[in-house]
Amino acid sequence: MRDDNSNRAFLRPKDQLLGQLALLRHRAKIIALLSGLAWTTTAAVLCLGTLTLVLGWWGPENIRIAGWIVVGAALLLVTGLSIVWPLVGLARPFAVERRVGKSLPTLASDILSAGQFALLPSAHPFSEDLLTAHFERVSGFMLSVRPSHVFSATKLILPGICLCLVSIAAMLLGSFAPALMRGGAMALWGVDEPPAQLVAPTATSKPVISDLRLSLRYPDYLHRKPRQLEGLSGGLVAPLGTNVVLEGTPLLKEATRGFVILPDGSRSQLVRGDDGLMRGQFLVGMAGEFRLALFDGRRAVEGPPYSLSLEPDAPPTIRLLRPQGSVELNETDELTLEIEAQDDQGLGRIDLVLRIGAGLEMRRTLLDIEDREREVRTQARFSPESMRLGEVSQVELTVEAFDNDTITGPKYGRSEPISVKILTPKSRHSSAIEQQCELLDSLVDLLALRLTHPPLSSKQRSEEIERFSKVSRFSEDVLTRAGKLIATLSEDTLTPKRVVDVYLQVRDDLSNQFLFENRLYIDDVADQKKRRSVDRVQTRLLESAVARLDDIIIEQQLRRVSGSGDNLARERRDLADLLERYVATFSDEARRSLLDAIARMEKGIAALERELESVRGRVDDTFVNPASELRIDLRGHLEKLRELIASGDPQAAMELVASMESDIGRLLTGIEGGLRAFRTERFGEQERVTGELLDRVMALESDQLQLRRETIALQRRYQEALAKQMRRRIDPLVKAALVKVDAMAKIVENWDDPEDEIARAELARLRVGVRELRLALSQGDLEEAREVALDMSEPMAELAGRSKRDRASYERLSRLAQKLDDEIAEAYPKSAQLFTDSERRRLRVMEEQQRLLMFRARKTRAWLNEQNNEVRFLAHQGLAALRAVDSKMDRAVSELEARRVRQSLSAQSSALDELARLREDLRRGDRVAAVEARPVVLRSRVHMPAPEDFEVPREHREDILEAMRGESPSRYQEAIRRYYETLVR
Amino acid sequence: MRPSFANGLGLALPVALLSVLWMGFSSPARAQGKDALERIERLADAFLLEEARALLDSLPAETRSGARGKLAEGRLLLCEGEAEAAASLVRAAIEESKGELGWKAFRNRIEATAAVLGGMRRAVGPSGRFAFYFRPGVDELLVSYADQALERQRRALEALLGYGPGFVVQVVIAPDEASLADLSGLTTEQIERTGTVGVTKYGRIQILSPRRLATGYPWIETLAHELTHVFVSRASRDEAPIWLHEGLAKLLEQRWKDVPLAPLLPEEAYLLDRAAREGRLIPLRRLHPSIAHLPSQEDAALAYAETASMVRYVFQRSGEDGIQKLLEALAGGAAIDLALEAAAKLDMKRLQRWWRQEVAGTRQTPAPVVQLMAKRFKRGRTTAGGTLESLLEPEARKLLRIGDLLRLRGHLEAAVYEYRQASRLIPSPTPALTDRLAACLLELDRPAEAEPMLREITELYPNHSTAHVQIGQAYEALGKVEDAQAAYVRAVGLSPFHPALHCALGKLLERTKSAGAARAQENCALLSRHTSEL
Repeated sequence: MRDDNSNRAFLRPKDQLLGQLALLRHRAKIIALLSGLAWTTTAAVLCLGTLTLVLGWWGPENIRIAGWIVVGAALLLVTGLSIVWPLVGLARPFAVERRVGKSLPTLASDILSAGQFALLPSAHPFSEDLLTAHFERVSGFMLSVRPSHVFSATKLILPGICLCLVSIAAMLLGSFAPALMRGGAMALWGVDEPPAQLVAPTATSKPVISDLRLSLRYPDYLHRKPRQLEGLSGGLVAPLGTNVVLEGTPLLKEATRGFVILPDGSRSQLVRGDDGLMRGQFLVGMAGEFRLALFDGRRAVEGPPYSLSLEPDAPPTIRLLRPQGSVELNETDELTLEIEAQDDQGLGRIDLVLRIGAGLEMRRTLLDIEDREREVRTQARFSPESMRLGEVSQVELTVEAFDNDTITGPKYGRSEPISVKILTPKSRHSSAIEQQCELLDSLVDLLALRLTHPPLSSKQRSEEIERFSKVSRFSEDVLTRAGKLIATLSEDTLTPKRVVDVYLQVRDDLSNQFLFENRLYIDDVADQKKRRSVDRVQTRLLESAVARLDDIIIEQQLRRVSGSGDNLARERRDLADLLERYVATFSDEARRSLLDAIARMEKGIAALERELESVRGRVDDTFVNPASELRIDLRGHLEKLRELIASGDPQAAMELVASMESDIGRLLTGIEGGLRAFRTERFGEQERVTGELLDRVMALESDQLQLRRETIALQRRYQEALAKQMRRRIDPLVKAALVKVDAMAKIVENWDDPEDEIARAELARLRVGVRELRLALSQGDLEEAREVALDMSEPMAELAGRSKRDRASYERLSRLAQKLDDEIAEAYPKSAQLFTDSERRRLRVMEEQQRLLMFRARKTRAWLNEQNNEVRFLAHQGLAALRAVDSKMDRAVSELEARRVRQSLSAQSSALDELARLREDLRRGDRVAAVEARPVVLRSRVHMPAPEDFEVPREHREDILEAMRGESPSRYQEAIRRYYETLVR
Repeated sequence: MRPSFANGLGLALPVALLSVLWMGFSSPARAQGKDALERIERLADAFLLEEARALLDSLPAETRSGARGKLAEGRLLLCEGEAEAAASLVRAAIEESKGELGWKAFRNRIEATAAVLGGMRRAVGPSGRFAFYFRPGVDELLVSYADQALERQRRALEALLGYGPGFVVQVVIAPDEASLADLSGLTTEQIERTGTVGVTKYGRIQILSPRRLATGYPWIETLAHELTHVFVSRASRDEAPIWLHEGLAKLLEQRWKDVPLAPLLPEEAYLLDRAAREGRLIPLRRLHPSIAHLPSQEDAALAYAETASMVRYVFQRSGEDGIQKLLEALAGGAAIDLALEAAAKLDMKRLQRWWRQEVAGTRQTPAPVVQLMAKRFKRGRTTAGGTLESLLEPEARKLLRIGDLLRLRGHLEAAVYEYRQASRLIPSPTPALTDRLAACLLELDRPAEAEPMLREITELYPNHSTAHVQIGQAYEALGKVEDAQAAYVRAVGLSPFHPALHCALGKLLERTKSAGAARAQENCALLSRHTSEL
């Protein structure tokens, strides 16, 4: 216990002493560090300031690096002396004790020894008590020592003052000689600046460089050759970005270097070469004046200013040499454009620009000018089809030329626009309708003229002649217009022939009566009563013409409404397909297509609106009502659809599109009803016949469709029964049959290829037949196999008569085919076996039903024949279609009689196709279907037959003559008879 | 122990006894409550709203707070014009009794009504007896005319029948057919099919804005007609059969103009005459539940003509006092036969027989044929339904078309010629011709030629607004200011949204310093501000 206490008593004064020494050491270090930093900073400012001054004065050449080296060395030295050395000194053993001893020499040994004792290890030979007493004494003494006395802060005063002075000097220098210092600073950090002597050179009006030669290197994209200039008398004109290389003899002796002072104040260096010439270069960036300045080591002299102008960048010019004004062309035609373009800097490309209506622009590059020619004259072709203009009928065409530089200024030039009218079948039809309206206007005006200016009495002879000449001029004008319109309508593929007929009739009626009336005046018939009577007739004719033309124009417009409705239905179907695709993929492309389809549909609605607008007010509202009501709903639907797509709800969108189907269905029904109602009102009898025929045809179609469904059901049961019965027998049968088919194939393969085309074709047909036979058998389609075998008999017979060898092959082949047919027929259950009693009864009923349908079709034909006088065109078309229906139904009856259900089904389908076609024709009118049809572009070459094409080949002549001697084949006799009958009829 | 019949009986008897006792104690109160609630509903339907409210207030709280009580109160609130409150009460009733499909349909009706009325402005007319609901805009101009006419009609009917409503009658001007359908419970198809323009139901008079019809309709008379229904309902406690209701309303709809019994319109007379001759009169039983359920406008017009002529006969037999007695007898619960016997010494069989003889024996039709002018509802920029033109001969129609073509191109003289040619082919005057011809003549400044023709057409087709406007213009041009004013006023009663009508009327009234000039000028300004709504 005691020991511990004594030890503690020893340690406490020791620690106290060490703490006091450490505090002193710490203070010493801080003072040394601060003083060192002040000295180092002073040295840095001094050295760098001096160096900057030197560099600013003499320029950076050869000085900068040396200067940096000197500055670096000086700074290192100062740092070593002022910071490192004092700190190292303090780190030495007992440095603080000695320093304290130095300050207080009387106690120097005590303090040093105390310091030494304090560092003794724990096991030492000295008495702890003595040591404790020593430590306490020294420590007590240390308490009275002031640290500032040992390590005085006054040491910081000198370096601080030095630092302040140096800093003030540097600042004064920066303020009073900023250019010098700025230049020096720039040079110090490597930026090339002129020496201070050139900052304000002496200006002189005399040139400082003679025999000046300039070499201009233009920007690469201009593709211009470099240009040499001798002297600078007119200043310099160059494009932006041109590199100018100067070379000349300095007129200032001893001039070693110089500068080009550019318009923006920047400088570019001139250097004297070994040959004594001064050289330099600069980049043209700004217009203004530039000067040349030289320096001979003592002074700088600046020459007179030279003007520096930028070469202007003129816009490209382009002209459309041909065509000009306005052009009309068909959709499939090509328009040759003759173009001339120029640009001072060289052309980049030439574009074709089409403007459609307000805002929409289509662009296509016609020519990419690789070698940047400055002038181009070329031809290009424009085709509406290639631009996919669709139903656009009028465009504004321009060509644009683009230059290829980056110089600021106009970049393109545009030609004068030309108006191009694209004649699609639809636009031609629209134009034809417009012309019809114009003619109607003229006729109404003429009628008004006649009604308000009746013939005058014979006493007012001169006035009457004047009146008639006015009427006559007007009438002639109207008739001329009518003639032109008839020509236009005849060329328009979408105008029905009956419309042309109406115009022809109107023109003929009016012109005949007009001629008659004219003759009265030429013959100077004075009978006013007669003149009035003729005038009245002409007025009646005009009234009738006005009413008829108004009717047919409105009818055509209503048909266009109907066409727009059909378009809308088609667009909706496309929309539904696209939506399905979008739902399946969710791709951006599908989404874009979908939005395009919506836009197309909106355009369709707009087109429908336009069409409706053209008839609104001219017909009873009931004819246009359904369309007016529904289009509003459709617009709303499309808006909602867009929202649903945007909100990512495709399921609701699909439901909406599906619901639109019924809306459009109602719209189409409404339009069709309106058209029918209009036709009933205006065209009475014809419409009645059309309506009744349509009803009859639809009834026939519906009944035939029902019968066909029943026939299909029966056929299915028949096939099931057949498959059931043949299940066991079919494999051996097919196996045996395939052996025969192999033999047949072998014969056909070994058949020599005939020389003539027809026989070769027949042989090919035979080979195909064998392949099909094998396929049918391998699939177990025995009935089909029999039919194929039967079909093969015709090419076999054709090939048989050619040679003896062919005849032998034919016989073998024929035997095999016959055997095959017999085997299948034998194995095949009879239809009677396959049908149950009730099915057989049903078959008989169906046969009767089909027969009745056939009779109904014949009756309809007879009825239509009776209507021939009323509806000539319709009857002609309908009779032909009904004749075809009759023939197909007849075949269907025969096949049912023979219990050949499959064949009967095929005949029924054909009859249904004919009926459907007729129904569509009746619904749409004779040519409406063509309204929507795109024109067929013939791309294959058409061979025009030459006289030699009709010459019979020599080798066939004898055969033909021989054949002519004999009787015509019986199967052709009937056909020939019918042909001649048709001709006679 | 095996269960036996005696044991079962022993158990069943006490249960049955208890049930009978419970029913005996509870049922009189419940039945009374139920009866009262049904009575409230009947009273509300009969426009006896004051009585219904008093009865409801007298009911015990537990009866009112039940599902049925809430429903009855909801019905009453709806009739009182509190559609929102009614809807919440009926919803609460349904929450308590979820299986009532009829209640749900009623709730939907109230909600639809609330939605329609929510978008309307309410204004009490100057008389303070009618509250008008209308869509802000041009419909506003109807209010002052309507209030004036309704107040006059109310006074006239009160003098005749008594039982005037002691509450502010709600009058709704439906902005379109769909709104009228929502308010009335009819479908738009029914409205358009029968040309229904006014319905009195759920404590309200509801008419369609004349804006919705191509040439308007006699909307003031329709309002008066509907107000008559209110009086008849109240007087008969809604026990009057539909033929009597409609007949009385039809006959009395012009009382506000001091016309004691409105004559049949020429077109109605023609229809009635033709139907009587051809044996195609509509049996009275087919008028139930409403004329709006008939298949066409022609049938509806014929039905009105039939009921009006039949009630006129009753009127002639019984006089005005008799009608009051008849309604009171019906209100007292008497069957129609007994009521007729008491009032006019008639029964239904005799009435029908005599009426048939009367109709068949009297020529109702004026000499020229007057076709029914069907109401043509606007559909966007077009109108539904055909015009009288479709009834003309093809040749006449052709000439009219030629005339139109000439007129459209500014050849007015020539157009007049063609129209005159057409008129030779048309046996009876028709608006299809006169509208065109008069327009041309007025444009050519030949009003003297147009006047006789227009006078004739306004007599034959008194509800054809175009003719009234044109004859007003003709009178004005001829300097017959008073006649012109009268024609314009009549035109306002048919088609109040004719743009130039109010302006012309305002000028005329100002010139003669007559009352109403300021109103006409205000209306002129209002219409010019809202041209897009027309």
